Parts: sequence; structure tokens; C-alpha cells
Amino acid sequence: MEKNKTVEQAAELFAERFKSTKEEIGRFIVGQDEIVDRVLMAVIAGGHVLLEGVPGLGKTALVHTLAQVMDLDFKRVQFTPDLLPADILGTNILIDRDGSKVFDFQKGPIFTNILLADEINRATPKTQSALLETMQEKTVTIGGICHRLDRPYFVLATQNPIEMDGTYPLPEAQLDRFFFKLSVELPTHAEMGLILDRTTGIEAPVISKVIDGAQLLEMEQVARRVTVATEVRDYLVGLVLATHPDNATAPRDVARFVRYGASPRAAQTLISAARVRALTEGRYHVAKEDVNAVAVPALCHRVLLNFEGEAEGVSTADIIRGLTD
Amino acid sequence: MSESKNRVQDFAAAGREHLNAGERARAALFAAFAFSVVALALELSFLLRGHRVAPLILFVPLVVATLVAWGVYARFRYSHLRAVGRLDHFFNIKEGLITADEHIRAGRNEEIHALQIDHTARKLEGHDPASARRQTRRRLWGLAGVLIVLVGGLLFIDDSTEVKTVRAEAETTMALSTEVAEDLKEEYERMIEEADPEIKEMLEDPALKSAVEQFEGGGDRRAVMRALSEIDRELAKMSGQFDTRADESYLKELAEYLSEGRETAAIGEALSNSDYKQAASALESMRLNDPSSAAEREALEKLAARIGEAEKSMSNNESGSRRSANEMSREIKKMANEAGEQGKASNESKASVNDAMNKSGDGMRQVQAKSNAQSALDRLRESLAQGQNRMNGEGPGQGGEGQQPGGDGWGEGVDRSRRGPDAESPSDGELEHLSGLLGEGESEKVIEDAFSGAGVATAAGGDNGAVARERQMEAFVRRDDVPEEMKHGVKTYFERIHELEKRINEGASDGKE
Repeated sequence: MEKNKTVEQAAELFAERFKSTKEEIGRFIVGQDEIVDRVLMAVIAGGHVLLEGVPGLGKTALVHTLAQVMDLDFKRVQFTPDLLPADILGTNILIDRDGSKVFDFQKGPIFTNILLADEINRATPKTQSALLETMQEKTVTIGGICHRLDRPYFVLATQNPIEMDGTYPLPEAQLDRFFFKLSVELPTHAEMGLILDRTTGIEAPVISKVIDGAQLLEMEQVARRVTVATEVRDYLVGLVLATHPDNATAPRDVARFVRYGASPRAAQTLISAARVRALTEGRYHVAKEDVNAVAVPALCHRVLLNFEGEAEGVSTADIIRGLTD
Repeated sequence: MSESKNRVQDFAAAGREHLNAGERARAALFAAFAFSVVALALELSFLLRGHRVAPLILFVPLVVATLVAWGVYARFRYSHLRAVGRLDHFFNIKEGLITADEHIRAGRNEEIHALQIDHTARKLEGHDPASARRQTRRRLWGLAGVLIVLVGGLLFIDDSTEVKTVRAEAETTMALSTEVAEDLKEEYERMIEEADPEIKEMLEDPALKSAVEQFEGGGDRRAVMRALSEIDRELAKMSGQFDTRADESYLKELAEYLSEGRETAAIGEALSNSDYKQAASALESMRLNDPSSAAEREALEKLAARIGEAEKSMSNNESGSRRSANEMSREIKKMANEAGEQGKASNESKASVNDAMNKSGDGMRQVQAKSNAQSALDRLRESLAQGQNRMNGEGPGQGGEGQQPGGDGWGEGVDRSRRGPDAESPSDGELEHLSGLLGEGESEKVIEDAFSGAGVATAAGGDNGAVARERQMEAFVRRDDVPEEMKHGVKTYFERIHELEKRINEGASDGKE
């Protein structure tokens, strides 16, 4: 029973930290509760987030704030077309050491805990691909030497859905590596007023660090212990498989408008996110509503529309919502 | 942990029981509706035809209702997993009960599992598993109850008047026909028992015997009448074989001539009394002895002379008795001529005379036997006719209240010579007095218009007599007041008459040749 108490305490601590982190972010970020929740879920689950929205909605500010509340190393890279992989990953340079010339690896900005990849779709595919290994294996291999990144490590990328000239849409392989893709919406009237108050006055809100890397990793471990019933797991698998137009369970809209469905990695994402959400809701098991709540951000960038779907202006979010109970 | 586990298990078990109780109630409701609908359909099928509903027929909807109840319950009953899922959804436990149940069934005992079960047990507090039970609408139960009461109420509706009448008639027919069958069998057996040995064989016809023995009583009046007609047909067929009217007519006429002579008076007297057996004995007593006396020959010559006289005035008659009498007369005359020419008759002539006399005597006995057999058959037919009359609701040997052919009413008989102004003619024909071969009387004459148009001439002439008979028969059988079951018998009767007439005509033409 004492042991149960420990797990219970860990779960309570999880909920408390989640809440305090969110509140601290909320001291600066106005509204966007859902976005903040989901970003935190992704971060706790060890995933990367792609934030999409028009300029000025606070995407970068959100990431900055998140870095501030977490006692973690933070780097920002502004992606531009002339950005090279070495600019991110680092490079070997020749240095004079004890009278002899040796190559020394100079770490790039990727060696951090929180990487803000701002406007990621402005970099060339070659540079974008430099992130692939780091996002999946959390390692960097240069000159035959594999460098491990510190944990926790997550990439928070932003992209602008308009001004597509001079951009390079992210390849499917890279999109799949993002845990969530979140669309940042325009704030409401009241929220916008608060934003003005907080950002244009003399006094700026002071953000405190409320969580460190170890606590974050501990939260990840606690979340992994949340149980999933077979029925819920089967429901989740069925949901992912139903996104494939060739699958027998695919509804009519999927069969008509979808080109490719979600991958098994999507199912992993769903279950991880659902576990975190269950804990935040004070449960020790995953419910179908947890799966449904995270289905859209976890699947919307993994379900690719066909030409007809694009032409009809079909929303992948709507298709995914149609698949949930 | 174990307390929470027990609470979860108990809740799931109790919930399942309540859910299945609800499903049983639903199955019962379905069964009640199935029973009511099927029972009402069956009951209406009886009642609309005027019959009361036999309570045993409700066994059918009962079986249907049982099958429906079983099918519905088998389809919707809750397994453990389904019950847990339903309870979880109903109480909005958010898959907590499903997960906890899975942990318990899988025997998972880690900290997180215990926490989850505890958490679920706490969530279940305050929930009553009975509230998850499916509630069937009272209005539906009320409707089912009303339908069942209606089904029960319809059981008390009695047979309609028409059905009662038909049933009573069937019972009467059954009783009457059984009685008629017994009487008929009794009469047949008596006829066989009382018959002389020489006609017994004639009467024991297998077809008639089979028809009489197979005739049983029944509730279907038409079937009974058809069976009686069949027996009547067999009797008419047999009666036709024993027809002696031509012989008797001849012998009766001959009797008048023979009674005038002293030597032949005994024969004449016996013949006039229709005692053909006695007449045969008297005739055989006149046979020539060996040696024959002159008186014997003289008596025979007088016999031949009487036969000759009778022959002169005899109308058309082609009976066997006439042929054998003429044969005998010829042989006697031949013998007398021979005796006149040669002084005495040869033995061959005498033997021929005696043979002819024997033959004629045998013929008379045969006529006697046939006459007796026909009398016996007539008695049987009379009994049969009485049976038919009883079946038709008539008194024995009387007409049926003016509705049946052959009479105008009880004790009224038939009198076609007078017809009241409001009396309906049985047909469109005109009455005509006809004289027939065997009698004379009133008949109906119908003149039909032929179809106009092109005809085909042929060299062969039609049988006008046959056509006339056919028309007469058809006119009769088409009459509305003739029961269907009697028409066959009437038709057969006409055919027999025709056959007899034909045979007589053929006999006449043979005689002429």
C-alpha cells in the first residue's frame, strides 16, 4: 500500500507540475489554453511540435515562454533558404592544440534541450533533413562520430501557412517525426486586449522556472505507466487504420479524399499523448475521450489528402473528427 | 485493493444481472406482441369465416412467441464484457470499469493497476447498477396487455348461425347416412340370404358387394349422395342384366291364347299368374313319351296352333321366350307334317320336339329366376331410394316439399296434366303425350333453333333417335332442381335404357333375317 502511495504521489506530483507549468506560461501567454496543453503534452511525452499559424499569433513567444518556465538550455534558429546543415548541427574546425593542428567539433545550436526552429519551411530540404536524425534518434553523426544530445530534447518548430513563395514544404518523413502539429488561431477580442496590456506596458510579467529537465523526464516515466485497456487500445488502432483509404473500415470520406493514412508512429504518438492527458485528468487509465482529444493534432499532419480532397478544400481535421466516436 | 476489486467485480456482476433482466423483459415484451399479433391473425381467420376459435390453436402463437423471446434474448443478452462496457458507458466511468475489469481478470497486481482499480471503485460509489437496466415503456406493456386480453376475449365468440346450421346439418347427415348405410348393408345381406341358390350367384356381384360394404356414413351430404348414386348405378347395371319385361310381355300375351284350350289351360293359367316355374313344369309334362300316344301329339299340335295364333296378333317382341316358343311350334308342326305324310313321326322329330319343349321350359325357368333376382334387386333399390330420400330430407317414398324432382310435395305426387297459374315449369319445353315401347305418358318437347350458317352435307344420316334421347337426357340433367349427386345416376339410367333399346332392336333385326 505504501508503494501504491508512492505511485499515487508521483501521479499527483505530475498533475501539480503540469498545472503549475501551465499557469506560469499563462502569466505571459494569453488564451491558447488548448495549444499550451498540447505543447506541454508533447514535451512531457518527449515529442516535437510543429506550430502553424500566421505571423503575429505568438508562436515564437509561446516557445520562448516555455523555455523560460523550464530550467533547460534553449536555442533558437531562424530558418532561411541559405541556412546550411552545418549551421545547425555544428562542424569540425582545425585548431592549434599544444603545438599541433587538430580538428575540433564545434557544436551547433542543435545541442540544446529546447530548439526553436522558427519558420522551418523556409530552409532548403537539405537543411530540413539535418533535423531528421536528431528528432528521431536524438543523436548527431558528423565525420563518422555520433554525438548524443542531452535529454530532454525537443524541437518546437513554427511555420507560416501563407507566403508560400520561397518556402519548401516539409517532406512527409519529417512531418511524421513531429508529435503534434498545432494550428494557432487568432485570439478573441478579450484575449487580444489582455495581450496588449501585457506586452505594451512598462511592466512585463516575470516568468519563473517551475520545472527542470529531470522532473520532465520523471513526468514522462510516470505517464508511461498509465494503463490502457485492450478495448481502448483496439479503438486507437482502429482509428489509425481507418485513416487509410484502402482499409475495409475506412469511411466514405477517407476512401474518397485521402491519399495516405497515418503510420504506426502515429499510433505511438496517440497512445503516449493519451496517457499524458489521462494523468492530467486525474485518471490512471486511458479513456477513449483521451484518444479522441489528441487525435486531430497527432494525425492531421500524417493524413495526406489526394487531389480531389485538396480541390474540394477538405480539412483533414474534419476527416479525423469524423473517425472518432 | 481486494476490497476495491470485490466492489468492482460485484458491481459488474450485479450490473450484468440487471441488464439481462432488462433484456428478458424486452424479450417478453417482444414475445407478447408476437403472440398477440399471430394469435389475432389466426383468430380473425377463424372468426371471419364464422367459426369459433379453438383454444388449442393458440398453441401456434405460443410457440412463435417462445421462439421470438428466445431469439431476442439470445441476440441481446449481455455477456460479461458487453455488460461491463455498457455499465461503463451508462455511468460515464470513461473506460475505467473496462480497464479495472481487465486488470482483475488478467490478475495484474502492480501499483498502477491497484491505483486504477481503487480509482474506479471510488467512481462507482453512489451508482446503483439497477439503474442501468433497460426500462421498457409502460405504454408498450399496456398495449401488449390489451392485445392479449383481446386475444382472450375473441375466444368466447361463438360460431355464427350459418356455421351452426352447417354443423348441425353435417351431424344430421352423419347420423342419417350411418343409419342408411346400416340399413343398406342389412338389406343386401338379407337379399343374399333369402335368394334361391340359382339366383344367388347372379346377385353376388363383386362390384355391388364392394360398393355396399365400402359405403360408410359421413358428414358430407354430397359425398354420401355420390356414394349412394354409385351403388344405385351398380344396381341399375345389374338390373339391366336381369331385364325380363319383353319375355314376360310375350308370355302374358301367350297365356291368353293358351288359357282358351283345354290341353294348354294349365300352362296358360300358370303363365297368366306369372308362375313361370309352374308353366315350365306344365309344359314339360306335355313332352312326348316313347312310344308317344296320339293324344299327346294332338295336345302338342294344339299347343303349336295356340302359339301360332298368338304369333299372328303379337306386337313387336324380340324376347328369347318368343323365339323358343316359335322354335318349339315349328318343331311340333314339322313332326305333325311328318306324321301326316309318313303315317308316323320319326324318333328324331320327337326328340327335336322334346328338346324344343325342354328349351322353352328352361327359358321359362330362366325368366322366373331373373324375375326373382330383379325383384330382389328392386327391393334393394327401393331401400336405397328410401335412403336417398331420407338423405334429401324426404319421407320414405315421398317427394320432398316440392323441391325435389319426382313430386310436388309431401303426399302430392306428380300430376303434370294440371299446372297452376303460378307453378313454374321445370323447363322451357312443351308437354306432349308420347307412346313408347314400354309405356306411354307425358313428356316434354323442346324445339331448338339451329345455328344459321354454312353447313356440311354428308351422305351418312344421323341417328335422330339417339340425338333426341341425348337432348332429353341433357334437358333433365340441366334442371336446377335436380341434385348434382343424382345427375350421374339419371344419366346412367338413360344410357342403360338406350343400350337395352338398342339390344332389343338388334334382336328384332336378327329375327327378321
